[in-house]
Amino acid sequence: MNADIQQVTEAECADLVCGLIQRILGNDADVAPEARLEADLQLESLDLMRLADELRQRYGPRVDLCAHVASVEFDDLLNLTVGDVIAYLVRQVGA
Amino acid sequence: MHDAPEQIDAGAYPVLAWFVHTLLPAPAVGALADLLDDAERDRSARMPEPRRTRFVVAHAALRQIVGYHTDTDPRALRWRHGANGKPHLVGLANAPAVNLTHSGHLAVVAVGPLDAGQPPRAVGVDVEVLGAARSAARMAERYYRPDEARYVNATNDPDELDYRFVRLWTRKEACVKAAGARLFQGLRLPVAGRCPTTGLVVSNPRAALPGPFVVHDIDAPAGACAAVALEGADPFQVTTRWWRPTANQEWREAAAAMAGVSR
Repeated sequence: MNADIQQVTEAECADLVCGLIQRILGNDADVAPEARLEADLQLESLDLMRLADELRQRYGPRVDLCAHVASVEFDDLLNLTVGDVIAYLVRQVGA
Repeated sequence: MHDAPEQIDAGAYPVLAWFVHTLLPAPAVGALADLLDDAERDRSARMPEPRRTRFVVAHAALRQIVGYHTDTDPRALRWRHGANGKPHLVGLANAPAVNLTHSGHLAVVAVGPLDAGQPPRAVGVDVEVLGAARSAARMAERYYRPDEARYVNATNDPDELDYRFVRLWTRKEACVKAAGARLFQGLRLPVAGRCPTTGLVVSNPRAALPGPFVVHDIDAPAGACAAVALEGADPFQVTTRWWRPTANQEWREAAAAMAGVSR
């Protein structure tokens, strides 16, 4: 499959992001879209880098979560949720 | 097993890095949770395990350690957050700079300077458990400086490759945290090379985060890397200690014995 022309549904984006975060967290607990990455899930810099790297590996440079996070105002960054990452992915690769 | 207290040279801008094992039995975690403030308890309640336990233990240890170094009740400590979220102690004159990091079942609290007569410098600390970067080779290529990516990938041993990636990451992240900067701003800081006993001076005038910083690798348990950075180019001395869970009323005496330094 050519990732550059791949388009995915919102549900697929949600499953992928939640699954990746679950793997990074190292447990089987459900990852809710409303969970905040830092405040609620304690995702750290390297965790976020791994998430960004996995997404970019799947979909190519059009999915650059690092650049997206860098562009977010700090107050919004504190409240960045799993759902926000899903929404970003949908914007970049959604069908 | 805990470090034997050793004498710290108060004239060398001493910084203490307190390691914390955050995997504790539930009763101990429950007792430590009493040290947190309402916001910390509310926040921890929304976290999945094992990160909730790590948060509670790390923040309770932070309060006990800072309480010891500032002669303050751990429950009374308050922080305000800087422009990019870096917490700073409030309401304490001559308080040392403090920074917290955690990864896996480890946390580290860096505190300095220990001598209140020395000028303040921002401190940053980072710890990372190895194996956290399974895609280290690719991430080094993608996000590190070219010379650092070559260094990381110049080995066929996956464990060594992981170690190299994480070692450089902890140095960069410690500098970012010292500056209170944003994630990814420090990726272009040149941090490769042997870390001398006086610390590695790091700067990049053309980068988003120019520095300078001085960064030290610190002795982490097997399977982890850690580094402490201070803003500025002057050398400093960092000494590691292990925090252990102690009832709060006994903590001051226990900390004094573990720290091996008088306030």
